[in-house]
Amino acid sequence: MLLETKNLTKRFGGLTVMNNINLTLNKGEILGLIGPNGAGKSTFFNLVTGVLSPTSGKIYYDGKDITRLKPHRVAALGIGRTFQLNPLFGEFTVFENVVAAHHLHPHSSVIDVYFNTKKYRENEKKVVESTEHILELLGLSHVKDELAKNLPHGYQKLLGVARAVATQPRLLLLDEPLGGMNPEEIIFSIEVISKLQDSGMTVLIVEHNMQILDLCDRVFVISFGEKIFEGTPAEVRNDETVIETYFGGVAV
Amino acid sequence: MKNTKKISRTSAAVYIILTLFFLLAPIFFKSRTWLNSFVMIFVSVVGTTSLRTIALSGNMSFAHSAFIGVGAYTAGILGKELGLSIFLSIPLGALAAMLLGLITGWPFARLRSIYFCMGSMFMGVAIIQFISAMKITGGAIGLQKIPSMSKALTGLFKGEVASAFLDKLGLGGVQLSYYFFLLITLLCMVILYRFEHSRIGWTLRALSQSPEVAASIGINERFYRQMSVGIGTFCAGIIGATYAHYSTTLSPNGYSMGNTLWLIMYMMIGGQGNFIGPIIGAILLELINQIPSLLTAMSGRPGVSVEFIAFSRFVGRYSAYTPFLTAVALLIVAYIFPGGLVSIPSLIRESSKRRKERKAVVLAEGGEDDAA
Amino acid sequence: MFSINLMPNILINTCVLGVMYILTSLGFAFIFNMLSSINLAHGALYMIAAYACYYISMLFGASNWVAMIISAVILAAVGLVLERFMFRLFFNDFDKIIMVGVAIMTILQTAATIASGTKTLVITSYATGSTIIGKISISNEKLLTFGIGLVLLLASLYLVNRTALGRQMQAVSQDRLGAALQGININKVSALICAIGCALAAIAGCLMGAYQGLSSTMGDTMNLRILMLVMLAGAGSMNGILITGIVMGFLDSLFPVIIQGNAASAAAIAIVVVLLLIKPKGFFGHEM
Repeated sequence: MLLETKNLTKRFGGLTVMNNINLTLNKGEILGLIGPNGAGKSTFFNLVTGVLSPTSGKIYYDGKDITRLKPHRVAALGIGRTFQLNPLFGEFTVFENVVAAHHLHPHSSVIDVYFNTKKYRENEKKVVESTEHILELLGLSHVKDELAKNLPHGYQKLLGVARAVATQPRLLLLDEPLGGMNPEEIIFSIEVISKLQDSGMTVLIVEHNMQILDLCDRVFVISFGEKIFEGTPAEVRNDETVIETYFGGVAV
Repeated sequence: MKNTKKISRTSAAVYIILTLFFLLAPIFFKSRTWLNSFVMIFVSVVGTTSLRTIALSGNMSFAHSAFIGVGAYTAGILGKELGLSIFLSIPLGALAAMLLGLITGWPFARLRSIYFCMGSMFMGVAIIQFISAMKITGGAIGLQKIPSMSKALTGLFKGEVASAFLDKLGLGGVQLSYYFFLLITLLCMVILYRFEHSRIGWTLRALSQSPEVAASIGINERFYRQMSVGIGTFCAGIIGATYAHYSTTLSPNGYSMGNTLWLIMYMMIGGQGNFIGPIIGAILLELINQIPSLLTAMSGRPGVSVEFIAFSRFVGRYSAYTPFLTAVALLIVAYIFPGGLVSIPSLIRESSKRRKERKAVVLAEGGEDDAA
Repeated sequence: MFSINLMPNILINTCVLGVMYILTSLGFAFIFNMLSSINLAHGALYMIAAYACYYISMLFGASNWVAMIISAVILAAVGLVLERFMFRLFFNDFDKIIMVGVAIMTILQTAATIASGTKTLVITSYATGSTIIGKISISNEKLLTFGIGLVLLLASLYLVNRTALGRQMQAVSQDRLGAALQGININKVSALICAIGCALAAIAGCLMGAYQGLSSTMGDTMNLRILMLVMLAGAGSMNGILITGIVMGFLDSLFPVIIQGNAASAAAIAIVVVLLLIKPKGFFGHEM
């Protein structure tokens, strides 16, 4: 078990956005976290990555308690993430964005960096190689010298994934990776995500787009901060409560 | 990464010319007034550049002059009360400024830039108020009789051979102090340049663009912000401490927020986008500020024409108005070319390129017409 | 030295200073809360209003009441210009806001320094004599300053809490996009609050110019007080400013009595430094 939350609860003032969520994520699987707007999916991501701290409950990652760790500590433990609104280092090129994301691996100390030691120069070579590789994987090689802010939306989303992958995570949290993409880009992204799974990453996806269901090993459905269903994609499609709350009564 | 490591040929040339100019300056400018003005320029250059190092992470410090003051007062008091040599008191002054910078920066390092702005503004005023309220600092009147660096420096060249050597080169205490100041300035410049152009500066720039993304890729926001504050206040402190031993008197007014505003204006008029901008801004504008005192000194010399004296008096009378010019220049920068002075060459290049392109288009169209 | 007989005087000064501090800070706080921005020149505007009042009454022989109103109107216009060409134009561009703020601050500061030169200028008193209440004699000047300040303060609070404009202001400060989607004209609301904020600072400046005299440093002094009030109160808190304003007024009235010289203001600042190091986001604000 890679990630486990126990009775995770978050309240903002009197508003409960997350109530007693017990979610487990096994090594190597892809779990889809779905639910209608405002169900608390992004809140869940922010709780796991330490951007928000929960009102009560615990989060375990690989057996360790990470409940109130700062975001950069969580990243250092091997949890990479993307953002729904997809902020970027807009003034950097695509290449530089991914290079920047190699902040943790390979590790160079501040002293090494400042004095430009041999170790640092060797690390930088590795970083460039790894960046080229990741850009290749995500199909961004041909735009690598563009400024990130000038990219079309679909590419920006992919760049967000590239950045998360560059932190060499064991667990990858993708917040609506397909949002706003055109059909071709969607097919490509789904391919990429399954490639990432093959390379050994565990993936947790928040997504509206139902095409993602085919990719998931399991699906976890929440609504208004409560878990309403957990099961395989096939089961989800046939479950009446889910259809009722999420698909508005129309079977997919 | 490629961009940051490449240093353009023009800016390299500017660095070399400036260094050579200030190295050779004592040969051409013998009077103390000129050297004093150059020293003021050094203080402004280091102050502005180190301020920009802090601003790299997206936080503007309004307390920077106060940290220059902390360095100056610490070194001054250590030299005066404890009799420490300048080679001890100057580094200690720098460390004191850095320590205070880190302590006061700590609570604001993870907050939005608007809080950092307000917090630093408040801390800057607070530090100066404390300095004027204490007895050991000489209060509002200021600190006097700080051991002069020229004595300490000439003391290094003991013996007949060494002093004869100095005489031959024409180096008095004033010139030695000037060169020591230049050395410290260059040292600070190298430290700051390396800091910005290493990956640390790069990480800071990433941080200023999006703190949340930076955290998600494992960048420790507080650590990096504090590092820029630490380096920035260290350089501020060291230049302040050196100045304390150069001028031998200090007054709290010299480090009030108004002085930080000047540094900010130098930085932004020069151009905040790259390392050389603040240097150009500080040198040019500080020189303009020094003009009245330079003119007065020059008109005091024998054999100066009456018109020159009248002119220098005229300039002296209206020197109080120079802040207007600087402020208007800043407004022009803010509204018309945000890149500052250093962006002018590239703007000209671009516009001439565009004009050429337009001409080419017109010619091409004209050609087609002719053909038709 | 401190004795209990001084207490009534200290309390009266607390009221006068506290109300003036709050009044000046309101405009700054409006901009801080609503536009998430900072008006560096707010203290300088407060100062320049006092100078304007002085020169209007000097040059045109107007009574200083008229001069005060004219100066408030001028500053309200300045507020409108600032909103249009600074806060709206450079929304979310913090560097530019700082540039323009620094430039305006420098211009106003230099103007005031040149105008006052070596002389000490004082706006002639709005009221003379004193009133005896119980056993204590209070100068009418103080009473008047406090009275005008209190009336304006209550009016502002009424504006913020009870009127449509106030509700719109609160909506904008909580959720800018949401407010815009609700059909609130954000530009109109921010223009209005900038004008009102600057006018309030102007009136405070005119009153303080008579009470403490004009100086080119009065803007800096007030700027410091504004920062302390707003930072201690925290973002989004109007009630917090009322409390911190009175506290600061009290400290500034008490310390000059019990501590000599420059140490008095340093002591007040020291307290605030400690409080801010403990809670840099202030005590009454909401989480941001």
